[in-house]
Amino acid sequence: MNYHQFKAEDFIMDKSFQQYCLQNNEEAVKFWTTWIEENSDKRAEVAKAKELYFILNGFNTSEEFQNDKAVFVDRLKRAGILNQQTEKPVAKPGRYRMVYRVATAAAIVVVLSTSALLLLKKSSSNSVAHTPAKNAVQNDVAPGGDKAILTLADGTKIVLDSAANGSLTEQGGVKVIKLDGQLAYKKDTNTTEVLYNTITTPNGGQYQLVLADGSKVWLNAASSLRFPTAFIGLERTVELTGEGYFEVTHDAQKSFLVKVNDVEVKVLGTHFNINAYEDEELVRTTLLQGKVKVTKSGNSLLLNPGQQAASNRSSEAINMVNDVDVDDVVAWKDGLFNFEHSDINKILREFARWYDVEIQANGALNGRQQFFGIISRNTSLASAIKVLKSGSTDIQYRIEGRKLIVQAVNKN
Amino acid sequence: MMLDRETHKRTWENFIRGDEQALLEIYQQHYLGLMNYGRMFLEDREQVNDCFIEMLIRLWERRTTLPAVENVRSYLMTSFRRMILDRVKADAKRATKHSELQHNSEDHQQSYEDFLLRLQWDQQLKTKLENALTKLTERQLQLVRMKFFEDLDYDEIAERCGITKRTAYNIIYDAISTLKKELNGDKNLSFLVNLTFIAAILSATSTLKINF
Repeated sequence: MNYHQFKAEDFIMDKSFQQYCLQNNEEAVKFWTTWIEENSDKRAEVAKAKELYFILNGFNTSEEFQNDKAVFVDRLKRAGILNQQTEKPVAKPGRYRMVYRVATAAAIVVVLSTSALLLLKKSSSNSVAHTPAKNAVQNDVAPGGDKAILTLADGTKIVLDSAANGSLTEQGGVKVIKLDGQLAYKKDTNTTEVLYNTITTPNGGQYQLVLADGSKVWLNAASSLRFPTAFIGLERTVELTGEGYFEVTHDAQKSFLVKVNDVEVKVLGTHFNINAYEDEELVRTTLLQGKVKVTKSGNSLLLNPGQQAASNRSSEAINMVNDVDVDDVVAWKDGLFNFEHSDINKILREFARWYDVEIQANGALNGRQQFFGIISRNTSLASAIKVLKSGSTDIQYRIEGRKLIVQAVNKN
Repeated sequence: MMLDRETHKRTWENFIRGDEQALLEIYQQHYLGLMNYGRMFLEDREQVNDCFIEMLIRLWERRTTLPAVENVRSYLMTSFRRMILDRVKADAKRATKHSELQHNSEDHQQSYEDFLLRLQWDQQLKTKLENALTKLTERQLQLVRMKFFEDLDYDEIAERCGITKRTAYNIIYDAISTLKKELNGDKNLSFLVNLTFIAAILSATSTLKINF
């Protein structure tokens, strides 16, 4: 059959194409994978057909199918109907290998979490990790800590990591009190003056803030928050860059508004996280409690707990992601890196921000490999890397000063 | 190409003869049709899958007593329907306050359109889809459902509707064209992006056929 004249509607009508989408027939998968490789100009039409097919078939994606089938096979094995030998792979090219890949990744969870536990225990000793003989990490970088700079309304800058605990300053009737890694704004008198402060964390820094209304904000590394020292007007508005986790005090009269470039998150009182780093592809607002409304260029999305609004910088659309692992999203505020299906590039970006190192990647890294596990943020860079290496031997790491050099291992 | 019904019949014969591979094939051949049927009644897809698996295992255990059948799908559907409804009733008994379960009894089966819309949580796509579906005639919807949701082949659809295979094909083709136009509009559909992270990675990988 000449498939080259095919449009999306022709593809979707084809039985073997449907089987390719669902990945439930080995021959079909083999045929279409090769065909698409050879006809790359048809990729867009194929993608359209595939998406439409998944909508019309009741959102039974190949992933759902593989999951459900795995349950079936497992059940058959437990019932003694199947043994290892009788099960043949269903869709060998792409799909079956990926399932295998995920299975190995699942094993990494164990590896990673075990090492992570060790690291959590060890972290207080603060020593450079024992380095393995081969591919040794020659250097080390200490983890980040509670560091930030506060810029007052008059432009005065206060370095918070060196400032002593206690009352730092008073502006327009509002006291600023520092306690370890936390800054609190306390209204003294009935103030009517609106003054703006900005708190900025560097790479390798984090800070906690209690705003004048009692709302708490955790600021991750390389982030900033601009906020009024007291909330006078009809709304409580703050501006964020980077990443912040918010626990907003409920006030039905005054909604709380977080502005992140062209994205606006409006709340009454709730817990949520915003990740808006410039080097991340998407701005993600994740809701843990309550309700928030995310708006961008006139498009709005109302989030329920466990949902995430994701928007691409270059588009006006906001997409909803359901059933987000919220622990993973806010792990940073609890002092953890929590990787769930994380690809190496995302992990390295996080490391760059927290350890304040520059990442030098020699050659492209395999972004499809997934990492799972928990590492304490209190761990030195060399130790954190050791955990990554226990998960995958495909990548070599080297620390030189404040540079982390990574390279894919060519295994052929 | 061989008719689905013929393929199913042969697999069934092998199944009765005790071929474990046929058991796996039956699961694949009827997966979409049966899962989707069950999901109209039971919210939780794991439960539906459970029923499906339970049914196949029971059939396997008494395979030597099973008859040869012409239409395997219809045969499976009869016992699957019973399993699903039993499960729904058991659920309803366990949680009487969950009255929605009782609504989903066979007389109150929800429509295909409502089912699809209920599953979709991307507000923009949902609106588009809702609008697109209204552009289809009753007939088109019925055939699209049979083809993609019930996973029947054109011969089966033609027979059930009393039309020729060619007509069945044309009706569905036109419906798909309409849907594509309505959904696509200016840009690509973006729902795949919204599926779980892993799903996106997996489908991308399989499309590009990356070797590890």
